[in-house]
Amino acid sequence: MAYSPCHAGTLSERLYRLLLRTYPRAFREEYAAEMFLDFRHAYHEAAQRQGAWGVARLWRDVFGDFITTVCAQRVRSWLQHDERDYALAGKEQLAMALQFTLDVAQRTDLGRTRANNEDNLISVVPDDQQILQAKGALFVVSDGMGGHSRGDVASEMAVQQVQTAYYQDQQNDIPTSLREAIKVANLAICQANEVERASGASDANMGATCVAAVLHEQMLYAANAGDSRVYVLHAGQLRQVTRDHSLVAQMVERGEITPAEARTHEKRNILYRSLGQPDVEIDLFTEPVQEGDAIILCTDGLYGVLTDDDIRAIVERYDPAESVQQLITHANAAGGPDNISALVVRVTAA
Amino acid sequence: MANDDQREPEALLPLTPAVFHILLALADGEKHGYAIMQEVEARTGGATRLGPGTLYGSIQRMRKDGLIAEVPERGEPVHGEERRRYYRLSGFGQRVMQAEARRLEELVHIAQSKQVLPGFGTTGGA
Repeated sequence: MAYSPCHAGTLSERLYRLLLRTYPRAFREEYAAEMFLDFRHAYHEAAQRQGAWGVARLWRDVFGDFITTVCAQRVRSWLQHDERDYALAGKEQLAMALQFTLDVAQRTDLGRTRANNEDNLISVVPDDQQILQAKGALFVVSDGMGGHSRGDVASEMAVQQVQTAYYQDQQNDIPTSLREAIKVANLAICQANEVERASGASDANMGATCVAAVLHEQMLYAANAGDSRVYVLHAGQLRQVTRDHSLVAQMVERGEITPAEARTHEKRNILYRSLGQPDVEIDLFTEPVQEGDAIILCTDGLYGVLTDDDIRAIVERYDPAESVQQLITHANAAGGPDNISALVVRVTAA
Repeated sequence: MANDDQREPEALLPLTPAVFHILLALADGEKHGYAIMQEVEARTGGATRLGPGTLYGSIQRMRKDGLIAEVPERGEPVHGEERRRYYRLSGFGQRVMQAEARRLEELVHIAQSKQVLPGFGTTGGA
């Protein structure tokens, strides 16, 4: 990067540095250092003069400006062909596109005992072949947490920010890009908590799980923090790709309890990692995918009441649209104690 | 720039509001990016705030078009702060700014002749 390395800046400064990374390289090399210094000045001035309100206003302005200008910069750099990061080697790569046809369905449900649905999910299969070729298709599921019914805000921020940050980042390194997109989402949630706390809500503490999967060529990249999961169904076998960051998952790994016991354990909701923690670590997993496989993303509202075998039987039998419907119906029939979200992608030959 | 004088300022008109604001901010002397932002905000009573991406995106294009140039060297950094990059108007930028101001003036004349502004032949609204 052209700008100076981070000297333990504030959360806002760290988030801003991450945002700056999504501008095209040529622009970044020329202006990112100046933009960062300007941001630092503006931040201190806003905080001094108007406190939390000033900081919130600054961020609103910066985000608005960022979304419009980063898109403009990207279009400009494509037009000028000056962005080597993103350049494609030749026409044959364009023709390759994704190699698969994807059948995608997603569904989220309140469940039978909760007052609010704090889950959010998103599927992105870009129409633009160039973007699809460079970045692949993206699927994100997030389960919000936090008092005062702010969990839905956190999970909404998680899926939106991951999508925006992932597709605006022009690195071709998908795992890094995916991890950093989740970190951007995390900093946005932390930032929102910080702004709320500064304006008096001392208990502002919203958070969310986040699991994001990118399908690019024949590889699935899955990144997570928290206990929402990615599974791959291959040749009749359901495999959990991600590892949960929950207390009960650790206990299962240590052989202290069985997976069945984990589903009803009183501490099953305790996570040791999730978005909303400033320095959260993001795990990354890769899994080759073949024609005929299915990819499943879900929250604990699903696997908390259905066994892996239940999930496998349903996804194997039905197409994605019917699968997500059936998964939710079965989870509700089993009590529906939590919000339930399921996203199913079926991979077939192009 | 050597070829400045051969270019017609009118070819670049109309300017985007951001570009015109930046030219005006540099009209009375070279400034760095943050000072441009502050001047625009102050001069418009806070109505126009140039975001960082808008500001530097415009600066990038304006440099390419030869409207402004970076000031090569500028003294010592102020009390230990990082060195900032200063920009100044080029001769061509000066002429483009004037041409845009004239264009807007003509527009205002038209508006006046149509009596759309209070105090120019009509009685203003409540």
